[in-house]
Amino acid sequence: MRGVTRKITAGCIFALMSPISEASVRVGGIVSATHAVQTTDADAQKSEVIILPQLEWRSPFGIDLTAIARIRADGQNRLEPGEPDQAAISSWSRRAFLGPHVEAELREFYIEAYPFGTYLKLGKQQIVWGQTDGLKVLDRVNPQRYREFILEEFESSRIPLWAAKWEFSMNKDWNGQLILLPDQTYHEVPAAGAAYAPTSPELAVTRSDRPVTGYTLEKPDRVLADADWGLQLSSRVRGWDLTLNYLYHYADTPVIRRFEQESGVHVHGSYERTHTFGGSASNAFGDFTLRAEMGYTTNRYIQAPAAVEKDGVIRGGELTYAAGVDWMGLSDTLVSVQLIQSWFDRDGMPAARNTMETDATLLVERTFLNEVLTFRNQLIQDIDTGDGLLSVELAYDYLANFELRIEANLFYGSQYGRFGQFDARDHLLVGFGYGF
Amino acid sequence: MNTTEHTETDTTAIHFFHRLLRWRWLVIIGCFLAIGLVGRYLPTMTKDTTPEAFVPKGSPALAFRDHVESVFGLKDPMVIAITSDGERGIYTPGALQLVHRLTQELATVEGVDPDAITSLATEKDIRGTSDGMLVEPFWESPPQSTAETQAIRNRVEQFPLMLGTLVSRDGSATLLIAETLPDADDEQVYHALLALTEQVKTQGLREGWLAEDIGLYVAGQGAVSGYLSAYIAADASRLNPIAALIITIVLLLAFRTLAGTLLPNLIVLGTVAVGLGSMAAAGIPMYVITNSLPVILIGIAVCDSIHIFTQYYEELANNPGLSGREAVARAMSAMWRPVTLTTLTTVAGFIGLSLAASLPPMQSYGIFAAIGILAAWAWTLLLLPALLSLFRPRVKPVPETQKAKHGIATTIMTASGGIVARYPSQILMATALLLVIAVGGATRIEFNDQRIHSFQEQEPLRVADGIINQRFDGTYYLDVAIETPQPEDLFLPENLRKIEALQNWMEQREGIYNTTSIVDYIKQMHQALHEGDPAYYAIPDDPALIAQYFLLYSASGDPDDFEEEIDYDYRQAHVRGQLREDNFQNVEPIVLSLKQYLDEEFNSPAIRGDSTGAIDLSYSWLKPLAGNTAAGMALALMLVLVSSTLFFRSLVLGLIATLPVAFSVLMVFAIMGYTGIWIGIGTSMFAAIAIGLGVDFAIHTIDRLRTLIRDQHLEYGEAVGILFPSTGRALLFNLLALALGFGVLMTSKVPPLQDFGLLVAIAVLTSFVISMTSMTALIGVLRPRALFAKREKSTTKLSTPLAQQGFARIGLLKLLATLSLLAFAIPSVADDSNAGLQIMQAVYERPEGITQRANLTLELTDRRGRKRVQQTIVLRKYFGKDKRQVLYYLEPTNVRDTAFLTYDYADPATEDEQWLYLPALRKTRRISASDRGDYFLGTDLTYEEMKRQNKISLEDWRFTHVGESEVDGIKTVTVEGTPITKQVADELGYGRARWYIDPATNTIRRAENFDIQGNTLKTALFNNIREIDGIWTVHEITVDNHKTGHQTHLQITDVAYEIPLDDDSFDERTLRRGVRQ
Repeated sequence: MRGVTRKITAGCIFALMSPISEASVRVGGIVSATHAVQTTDADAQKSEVIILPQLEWRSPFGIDLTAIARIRADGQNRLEPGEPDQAAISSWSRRAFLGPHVEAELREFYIEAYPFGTYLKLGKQQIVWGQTDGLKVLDRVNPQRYREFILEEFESSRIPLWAAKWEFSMNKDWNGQLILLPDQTYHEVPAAGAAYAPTSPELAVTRSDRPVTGYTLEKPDRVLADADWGLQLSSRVRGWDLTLNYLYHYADTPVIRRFEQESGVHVHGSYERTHTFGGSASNAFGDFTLRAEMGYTTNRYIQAPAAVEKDGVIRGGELTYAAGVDWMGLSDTLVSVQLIQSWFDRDGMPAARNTMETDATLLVERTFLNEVLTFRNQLIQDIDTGDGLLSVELAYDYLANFELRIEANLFYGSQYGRFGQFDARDHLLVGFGYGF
Repeated sequence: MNTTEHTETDTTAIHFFHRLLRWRWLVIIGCFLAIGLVGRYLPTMTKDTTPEAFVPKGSPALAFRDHVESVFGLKDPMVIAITSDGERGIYTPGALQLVHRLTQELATVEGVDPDAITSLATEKDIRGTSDGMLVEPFWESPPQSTAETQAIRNRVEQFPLMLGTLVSRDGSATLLIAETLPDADDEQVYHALLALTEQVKTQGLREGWLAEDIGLYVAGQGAVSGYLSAYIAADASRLNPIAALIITIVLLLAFRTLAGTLLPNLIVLGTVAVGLGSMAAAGIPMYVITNSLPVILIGIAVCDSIHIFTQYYEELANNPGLSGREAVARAMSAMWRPVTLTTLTTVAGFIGLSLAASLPPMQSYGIFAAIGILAAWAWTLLLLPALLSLFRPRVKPVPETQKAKHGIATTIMTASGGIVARYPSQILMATALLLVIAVGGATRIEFNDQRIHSFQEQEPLRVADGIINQRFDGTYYLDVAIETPQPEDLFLPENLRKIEALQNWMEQREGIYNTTSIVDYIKQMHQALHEGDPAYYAIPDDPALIAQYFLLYSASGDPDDFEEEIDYDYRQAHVRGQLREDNFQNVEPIVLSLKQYLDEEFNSPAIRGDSTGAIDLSYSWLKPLAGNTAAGMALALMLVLVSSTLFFRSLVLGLIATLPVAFSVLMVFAIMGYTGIWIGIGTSMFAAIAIGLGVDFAIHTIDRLRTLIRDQHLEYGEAVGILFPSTGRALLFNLLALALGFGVLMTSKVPPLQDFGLLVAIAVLTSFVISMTSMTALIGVLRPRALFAKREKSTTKLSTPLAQQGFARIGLLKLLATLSLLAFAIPSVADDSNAGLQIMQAVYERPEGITQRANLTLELTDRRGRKRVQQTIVLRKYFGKDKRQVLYYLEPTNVRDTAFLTYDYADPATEDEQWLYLPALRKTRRISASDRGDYFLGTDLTYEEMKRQNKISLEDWRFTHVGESEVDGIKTVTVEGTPITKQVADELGYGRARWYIDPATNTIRRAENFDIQGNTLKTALFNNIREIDGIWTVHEITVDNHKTGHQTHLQITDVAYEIPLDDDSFDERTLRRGVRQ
């Protein structure tokens, strides 16, 4: 009996380890430094140095280990003044602060294995769904840190979660990806006083003329019962890359309810379960690439005027869809246009947002000198409120592993708009990145 | 009409043709239905070969002629001439017996009016007797003795009206004139008369009453009109199969496939069915000149088909894996523009002809040729691709012995290109000299026509016509219709004297040999009544006497005997002048002076005369023909100028495009002038037609030069070097097709059509030669802004293309020898460019193994020497014929895990697919595969080159084997490639490329790429080529970009083939996982 058990175990290990390859260890990383100056008042917004050490171990058993850490030191401390409470972050995923200026974080730590011809990735990781750039429709698996609103690259602002991802083939045409995220971590929004603390009614609790008597946050904490999980099916049909997605998850933004009390208003934040169904498609036609993405989220809560609902929120479904066209007809040039619409089924109730909201993005990117120099312009425009963000970036690869960068990010529009609220936060940024 | 080289695929077009092919059965059925609908009228086609057909309906001259003929019962008669060169001439018992018998037999011939037969056996002698006047036949029964015949001779010779008209003045010939019934088939009657004469003559000879020297001839205007119809029909039924046969042979030689031979013939049938069917449907008869219409339509229709087929085969030759449908769609999308453009210019030529022509046959010719050409265009663009996709003919492999050889046509054109590029000024001087000679010849040209010349010289009818007109006073009539105000005014002596004076005046004109009128009869009767005294051969002074003469005549003769000379109430009469030929140049002064005489001398309130008759009618429509020719030519030239100016959006280029055809027309005029060919009915249209056909050469040439010089920024010399073996070669075949098509007309039995075919063939030949040489040289000298505007800064001298260097080796003698060989050997269009293709195919088919894994170190060095080094790993696997390849970046960290995946489908109809995984986005971005000419992630290799790995896509290039050379001490063959379309060139980023192939390993050792403008762009060296697992593998690639000074050095290591690679490794979703080394 023991012999049989041993054989089965050996077989499982063999299957788990396959494919076997030579063992290797790679240690590397990126050191980068950036300095951003607010153009409105010439104050420094950030002066940070980031070290991203990376370790990759390819074991001889077919199991690989990857670890990426991040140590960030910001001389200005304006983006997250002091030490953030990290209330929305699970204890497993929190950053460690070494004083107000320095933080350390285990960005990713995962093992990869290939059991029975499938792919398994376990550990702290980023899981990215969807096809849009700059704005998100299906990319909701990992929460985001809005330390710099959306200026920080998603790669950097996305908060990795402890998760399991299993990819498998269902048949010749369809593949599946099953994810389980027991990590109860949600969007991290800078507190009031931070450079990019939200003030827009869409993003912040609507101010009340009554005093706020207290604030409580209720956060799920049951490892499995409150875990998010999702399934993505992907296929290629007549040249189209298709995905069908389902995610059962807690919305990453807390629902802020207001409870009227005699002495004032008590504000209570809680995370609500929701289902997101969606899909994405992309294909190339000559010089054009078409990308489309759609997601429907069942229980979305948005802020309502105090007089309407006693707890200040309206529940409804939200359908978000996006279509983008990339044009690569000109050498070394990418022109990408996206249109994203979000429809909120608010059942006629007044809310802090419109029933239909439309954003458009335009990206023009051109490289020069054998891709040594990259000039990138991105415009994100909220069609409804007329505010937006213009980013202009020039990156120069002085060496293969040494990049110099200069960037300007300009917000414009109404102070009540998602982008316009940061009109005074326009900045100019210089920096470099060095890979080792 | 079109080139095969200068092509431009446009997406809309290819989509259109894909859609068309998807519904091909519907298209085929629709096309055949349309052909059937129009073609069903063909059996109703009528013929009108009469001279009247040339006169516009409602013409006053025709109306008057018809009126005169109806009044006097005149009709173009059949004429039988009996000749005898014996001492007594026809005054022998045998000959007169023959006259008698034939007259009797004639009355029994179906279609002959028995009451309208005139001969010595029917005519009556007018003699005076003691009782008055005796009107009696020359004989009651045929004379049996010489004495009797002599008596008849005496009586005839005393009857001047008979001389020169019914009996030759020397007595050597007599005529039997027979008119046909209104509904008679003149052609049948003519043949019946031929049979009758033969039968009677044979009988006479057998029975011994007829002498051997008796000649019998059948002619006359009725016979000419009647027989010309059948003659032309027979000619057409002979010409069309010859044309079809020649074209079939050309097609067979060119394509060597059944479909390549049959399908163009189907298009030809459809074209002719519509061209002629629409003519029949419109009720337009087939005229003498429209006989050439089918042949011309055949030539033009097959031309379009040839170009489509050539392109189709080239598509297949360049890419043997191409599906039939895709090859058809590509060929069509490449060729629809030139086919359409040349159709429009040719249609413009014919419309010009039609607009300028005042004569119905020419108007019809222009209109229905244009309809036919448009039908050819429609069938070529609709029916041909649909049928082609059904048959899917394939290119036959080229035998090894023929590989790497240029075809004769290419050799000739390459050499010619060298001459033009090298000696433009000398060519222009030679052209100027030729121009002077041509002008000299053109001034000698003569406008003329003669209807009998529609028959060959040896044709019996023409022979008969010659003999009759030689012995008699002529069978061509110039009439004057006389009209007086009151009945019996023609009894008035003063009126009769005026007619007599008119006759005298006419007989003094050179060319008019005799005149006849009622006055002659009156004088004959007057003399007869005065005992035959010649002194009384005059007009009596008393009108009453004249009236009595007619009364007397009717007493013994038939009252209807004068119906052809005077009307029943003696108010109208007509004078008939006889001419021996209707040569326009001779006739014109006679008609003009007659009209002048009538106006100035004859016409008065008491009597009026108007010229009429066949000669007058011919004059009336031939006269404007000269003007029509000039106007048609001018209009056609103008339309060509306008259309080419619009097409090129440049007046200067429009003028340059018009020059070759103007010159070719001048050259043909010169040839006509020097050789004495008239501008006549048959040849008057050649100018407009030749302009419409010939301008194609100029348009294709300029269009190609425009692409090469303006768009691709090639030097003039280099552009010419490319022009000749590509577009020029295609135009050469175009010329052959046209020349052979029109050459068929040279075998016609209708001489004007022979001239027409010859002249148009010369015209298109001249157009071709002048377009390729003088016009190209003129462009080189003038450097029009429309072509050179953007090049002026950099263009300082004419470069010496490779093709020119080749010419020095070929030499003039070899060129001449090759030219003469060309006549006997038409090389295959499809095979000729295969040498380069075969070499590149061998490279393409070089084994690569099913799977491959390799490490790639990319060393990128900028012009200042700064290096960037990147490590990558490449995995590749074949899935059937499809290739999938993935490349992962390993170092440096900044780009680590960037991955590039390609699906390269063997079926060119399926667009390749590419994905790029960008770790910074953590997203796999689908990227356009049409960006294949972009540089791959900062290297000097394009996406395409990264994908192909020392191989070249066969479907994107046209390859030419250009020679041999050494690369790093290794003997290589050099192949030059040009992208098949401008779109492909734009996609690849190259206007041209040259590869140096090691034939031992079928690897590319060196590659040179030129940008769209033709400038050297980069050079790639492939070194350290070693065999790994039996597969030749490149281990080192160095690419120097001469424009940027950037260099990419690829070091390929750890290459392994046939290793197990999971299919999932090439899945888009696995890109984000990175590679496990």
